[in-house]
Amino acid sequence: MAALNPVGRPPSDADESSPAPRISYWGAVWQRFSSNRLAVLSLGFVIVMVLVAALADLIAPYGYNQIDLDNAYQSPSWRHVAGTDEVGRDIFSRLIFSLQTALAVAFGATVISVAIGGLIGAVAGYAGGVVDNVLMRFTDVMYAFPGFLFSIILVSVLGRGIVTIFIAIAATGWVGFARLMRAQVLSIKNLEYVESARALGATHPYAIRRYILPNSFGPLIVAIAFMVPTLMMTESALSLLGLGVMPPRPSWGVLIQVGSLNFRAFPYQLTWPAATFALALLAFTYLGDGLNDAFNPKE
Amino acid sequence: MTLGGTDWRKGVLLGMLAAVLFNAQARAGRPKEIRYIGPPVSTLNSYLYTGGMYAQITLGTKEGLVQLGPEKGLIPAQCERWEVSEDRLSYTFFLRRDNRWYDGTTVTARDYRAAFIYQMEPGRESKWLWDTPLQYVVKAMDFRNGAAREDEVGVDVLDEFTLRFRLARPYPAFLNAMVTGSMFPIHRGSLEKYGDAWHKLPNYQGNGPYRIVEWELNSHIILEANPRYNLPRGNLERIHSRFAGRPLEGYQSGEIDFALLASIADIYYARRHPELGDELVLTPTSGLSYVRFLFSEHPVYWDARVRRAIALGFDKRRIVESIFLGRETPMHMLSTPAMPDWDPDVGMRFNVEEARRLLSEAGYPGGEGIPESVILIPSYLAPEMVSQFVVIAAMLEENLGIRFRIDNQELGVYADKRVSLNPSGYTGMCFAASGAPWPNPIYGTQWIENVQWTEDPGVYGAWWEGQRRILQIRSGMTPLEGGENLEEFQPVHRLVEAYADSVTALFANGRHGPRLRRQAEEAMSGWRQTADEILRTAGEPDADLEWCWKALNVTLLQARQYYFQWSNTSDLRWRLEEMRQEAHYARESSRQAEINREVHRLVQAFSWDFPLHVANATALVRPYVKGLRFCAYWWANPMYLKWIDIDDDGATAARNAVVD
Amino acid sequence: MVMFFFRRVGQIFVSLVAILVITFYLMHAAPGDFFNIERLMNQQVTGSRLSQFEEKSQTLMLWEERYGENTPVWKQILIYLRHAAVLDFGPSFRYPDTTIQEMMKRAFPRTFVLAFSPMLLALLIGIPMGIGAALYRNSWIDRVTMFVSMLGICIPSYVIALLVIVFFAVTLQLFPTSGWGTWEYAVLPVMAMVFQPVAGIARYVRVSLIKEMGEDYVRTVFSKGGNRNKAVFRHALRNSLIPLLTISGPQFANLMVSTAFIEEIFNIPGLGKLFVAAAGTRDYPMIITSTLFFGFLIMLMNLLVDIGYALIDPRIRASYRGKGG
Repeated sequence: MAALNPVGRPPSDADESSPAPRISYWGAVWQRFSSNRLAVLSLGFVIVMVLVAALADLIAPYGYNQIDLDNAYQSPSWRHVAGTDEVGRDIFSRLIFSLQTALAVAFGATVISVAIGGLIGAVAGYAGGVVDNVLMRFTDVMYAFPGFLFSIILVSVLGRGIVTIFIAIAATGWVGFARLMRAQVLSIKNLEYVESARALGATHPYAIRRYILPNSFGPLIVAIAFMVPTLMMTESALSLLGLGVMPPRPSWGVLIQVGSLNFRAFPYQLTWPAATFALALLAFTYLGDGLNDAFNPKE
Repeated sequence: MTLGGTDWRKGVLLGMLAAVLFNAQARAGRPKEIRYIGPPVSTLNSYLYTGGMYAQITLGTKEGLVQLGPEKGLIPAQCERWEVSEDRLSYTFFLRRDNRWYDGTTVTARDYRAAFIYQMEPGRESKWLWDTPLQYVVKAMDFRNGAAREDEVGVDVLDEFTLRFRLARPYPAFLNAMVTGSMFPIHRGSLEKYGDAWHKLPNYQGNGPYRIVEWELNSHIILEANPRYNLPRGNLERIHSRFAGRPLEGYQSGEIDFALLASIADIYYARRHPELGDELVLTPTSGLSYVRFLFSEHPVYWDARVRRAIALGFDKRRIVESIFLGRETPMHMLSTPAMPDWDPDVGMRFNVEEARRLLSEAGYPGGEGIPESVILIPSYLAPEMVSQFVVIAAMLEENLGIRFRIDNQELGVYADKRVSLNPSGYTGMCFAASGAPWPNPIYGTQWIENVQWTEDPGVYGAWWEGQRRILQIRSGMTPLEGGENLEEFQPVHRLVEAYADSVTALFANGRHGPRLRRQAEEAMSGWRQTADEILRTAGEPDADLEWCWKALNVTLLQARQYYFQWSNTSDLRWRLEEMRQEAHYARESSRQAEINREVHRLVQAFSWDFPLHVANATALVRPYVKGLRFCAYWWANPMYLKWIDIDDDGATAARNAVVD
Repeated sequence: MVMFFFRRVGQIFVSLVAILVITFYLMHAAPGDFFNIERLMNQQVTGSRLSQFEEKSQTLMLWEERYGENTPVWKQILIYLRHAAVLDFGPSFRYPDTTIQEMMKRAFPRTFVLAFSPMLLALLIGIPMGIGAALYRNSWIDRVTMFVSMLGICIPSYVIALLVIVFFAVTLQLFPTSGWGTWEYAVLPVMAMVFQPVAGIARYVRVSLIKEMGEDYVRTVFSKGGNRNKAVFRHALRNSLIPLLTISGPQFANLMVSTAFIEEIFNIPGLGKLFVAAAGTRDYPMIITSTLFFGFLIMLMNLLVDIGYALIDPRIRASYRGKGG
């Protein structure tokens, strides 16, 4: 969304003066953000999710692979609030543990994607000309990149592991960030104050560090907020390639898939995983909206 | 494109109304039709497919000399009778004279011969050859290999309506095998006229009860009754099979007339549903899920005692009962209740004490010394199938102290790992499944052995072990241990050379093409060199004999794997076949059971597989569908549609499906 | 403009060749091969085995007939290009009887309809929703609209597909559960697919309209006492709809790709059904062609968006002239 808003933040006085007022820039961002109740609520929810994932061992009432064949296919009850699966494992506990991988994968892959995409986009946008053209054609190619084959090769070369998942996702995930970053850099680099700084003898790295990067933070953070939830589902697709988490570890996406397969007979297997996923997605989206408004205050 | 703009302009409400009317009309004036979700048809060339597709197309459009009757057993189809010679080497069929192709020409003995010759032609891709009775016909395989002329093949057209098969050696299942698709005639006219396009739709000629009206790749196929068909059949006028969809929802919405339910949740739902529950039919099939040990350089599972301990070390009845809710039945032998060699007294039942004893005997008391192993599964498995392995792993760890982890791999990777020699860091077992292809009365689960002996290297180890055991009994050698002195190396080294020679001979006749021949030659010279090298190393003064012995054995296994991948013979296999034939021809049933038990004892003693459970077909069938025939053999199940009657006013007895 | 067009077409061609090279090399490097998989599946499903007689199947012979034996990969790529130039993609491994172009010719219109109708519907529904939400910002209209559109994003479309099948086909029996033919068959798949683009477009229109309404020129119209609706519809909306093009193109391409599992659920013989199993079964000819096709589709959409942009917005047209000249 932010990618389509190439007009950057207009240069404020804060950028030109001492560091003290810059804090007030972030302060202003926070102020605008905190005035959006929905966004704050969403942020709270995301923090709760992270906490739950981190403290899964303490919170979950059962282990994720605590088999109880006598209590398979149980409907929700006080003992098992979300029911049990085909081997009697507590679905609620599995859901809590699945948060761990989902969040780790989503954040990890996003960080790598942002790093690669940001770099390529920034270079393309800043250098322009042939470099830009070549890099952008490269991103075009990556849109059609056969990620399936690449992931299979990756897992046979690197072996299975969370890093492999990061790389597999980042291999194509960076493309969107590259485009975003390029658009940002393009829109900023021709602004008068940057051009005048260049005319005054500022070096390229200085110009990038001083003007381009700080101005691109806003849209980037927004884009990250939107990317994280979609990546939480990508992990379930990867398990089909032998790349995702191995059974018996639970995966959020697989929980939803299985739930939808068993929906007619055991609807409770779908409701909890799907509902919590919808909530997480809502939270990240509203968080992204809130950040968008906070960073782009023009109204 | 039928999705025209005019329809949309009617407006959503009008459209919905029309949809209601459309549905209502469709239900009222329907022909005697059966609609279901069947196996996808990807080609109409019947020699390029086996399995469900065969049942759907070939059984519908073509008919051979012998068929499975509406009751159990073989009955004549397009022949009046047959004669078998005293020595069981000659079968003569007297054909019906009134069987016509779609175009009205008469089906003659020449059409049958043409079909056999067509399939056996050198270089022709024919998926039936692995199990066709033609393998036993005089000179047929030689013709295939380019070593005999067409007119030497032992299929004789005595006159237009008399056909004789001459066999090279007796094959007790010959008549039963006549029901398979390789034994159906081909229309010589269209073969001559259209060449390879004989099976394309307007050209397709059949002689069976149905003709193909419509076929859409990845979508559906429609068959209609063939008016020229000459034998009794049910009153079905039309068959509509779609290739995908949700069976339960399709059945509930009235779009299909019977639904084979695969998902446990669907079965559970139907069983508890007030109306659907009465239309549910459950019947055992031969779809067997089993476990196969992986072929690995790590020697732990080379020991049959360890394998047996694992087969005995977990309670599959408990797993099956609580996870599968009746869709599967636990199995203790590599056979199914539908098979003639089925014997409930034989089998590997849950027995922790025995399993622990075997482990200690093999030198791994309490599982100590066994590395963490894998359970390799393909990633397309349904969730309950995956979960069962999670439970098996947990039970094995608890009962035997062996740790297993699940390795869920993409299909291609799974296939690779399953059929190749894995490094010593990767050992364990993998999921496998199979179904009995056709009603072979004597072979029982030979289909699994077939797979073993020709596909998977893991089993060559079993064969090898069997051979060693036999040798052992004869010569007093001890199994697998050995290599303490240099003399023991010589016979193994000679075996490697013998296999290398055999492979070279196998590829020398030129039918494999230069690329494969070169590969084989390279592999063989590699193994020869390795074996020589090892022998030389072992001869040096301070050689690590244990390592050398292991290396030499691995080389032998590799050479043997290569050989069996490309050849079709193994002594133990023939030995088992002989035993089964003996059982088949034995007059007393007690003697039969005795031999069968012996066969299974032999199989189980060395087996690299152990059974898990066999599937029960669970289907919803409308009350007006009469005579839907569930056959225990996988391919024909449940597609013998020929005997179905549609009884429009008979919503009487629900459970009217015949169960074999 | 013409120069710009030709330059872009040239770039697309170069990109396609790059995709081809990547795909060929990855394909050959990936573990697993078609024949191993087919053999295994055959035996798994039917108990059959391909015997020693099938060591060199006809399908493989068709491949070797086309590409030769032991041809290096770069040469295979050239051979592929030579054939692709005349739209001849040859037979695939899985369907040896017919050619890929033949199958695609039949399947493409279905997938196109399947992807295009949700796109069209999404524009028809999403734009008014977005406008309403923007005009009555923070009112109940806004909240309801945004909540409904959020639901579309939140629920995976295979779950929506399941729900619509159960409700419309099983409970109400209005539409068929699966298949393809008359328009009734398209209703449920389109329904399952439409939520996501509607949500995306409504949200997009809302955000960009709110932004435009804050721009000086709209405020000027207001301050001059101009009609609010007129200001919004004549000025703000037009400007905010132009960039809608940019997301519509990729969104349509995305829909084309995501039809794959909708086709599987609803048994629709479209492109997805042909392509989706290709990578899993290592069906080389099909892998190459499908990757190339989707690559082409995405780049074509990008090109169309750019051209559309240029046609609408004179400033951009001018910039292209500068670049392309």
